[in-house]
Amino acid sequence: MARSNPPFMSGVPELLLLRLLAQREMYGYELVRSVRVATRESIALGEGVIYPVLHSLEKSGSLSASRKSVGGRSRVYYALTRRGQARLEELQGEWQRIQDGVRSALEEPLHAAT
Amino acid sequence: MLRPDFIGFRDELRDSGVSAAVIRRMVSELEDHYDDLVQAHCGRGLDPDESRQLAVSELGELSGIRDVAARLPELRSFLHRHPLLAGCASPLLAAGHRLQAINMDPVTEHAARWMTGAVISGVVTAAMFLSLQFAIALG
Repeated sequence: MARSNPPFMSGVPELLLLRLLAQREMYGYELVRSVRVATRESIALGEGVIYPVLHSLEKSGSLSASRKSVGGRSRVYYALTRRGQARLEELQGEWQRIQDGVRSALEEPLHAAT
Repeated sequence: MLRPDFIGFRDELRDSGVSAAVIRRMVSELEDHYDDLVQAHCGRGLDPDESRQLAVSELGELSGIRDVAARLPELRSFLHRHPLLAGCASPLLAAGHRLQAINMDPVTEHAARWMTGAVISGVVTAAMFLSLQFAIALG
């Protein structure tokens, strides 16, 4: 049976955040800047929207959050957990499958519907 | 508007059923994020008003952030995640509260409180036994 497609567009911020946090722990503002750089500014998120996503990932155990004082300011740093690593691998797999499917469809010569 | 209405946003999140702990931290993170944006724009030589205006637009509409938060069940408070439990417990709690408001002689008041307490404990115990039974049945 064909697997159903995940809600991949709504999963994009989740995938990006997990991928970036796999490199090192970051706080919200830093993460938004990193998303911009990593996607060459092709994905523009309303910056504040990442916070509900981060909190949701923390509640599901994919991220851990800790408050740290940096440069006289208190920041909430997010780090990837083991469960987050597994979730990242799962999302990357799903994304790869979708990407392959779309690429294959785009590379196929166009046929008129019969 | 040069600074987003974080106080109103806090109230809106609370009305949407988001848990108090999530609201507290999310609002403080958004305030920090806004301050970082303003600081970055000022650092690039923009005047403070222009920096604040740009920061507001980059942060995004607070109503949009509230909608995203309200759609995520894991961010809701315990009572909003378990409305049935809240619905069952609230009449008992309200009854207990109402009893306190009625003028009664001390003996009757003690008896009424004791009865209310006993009923609440009974309901809680029954709920615990039921959930245990479910847990056992579901393996």
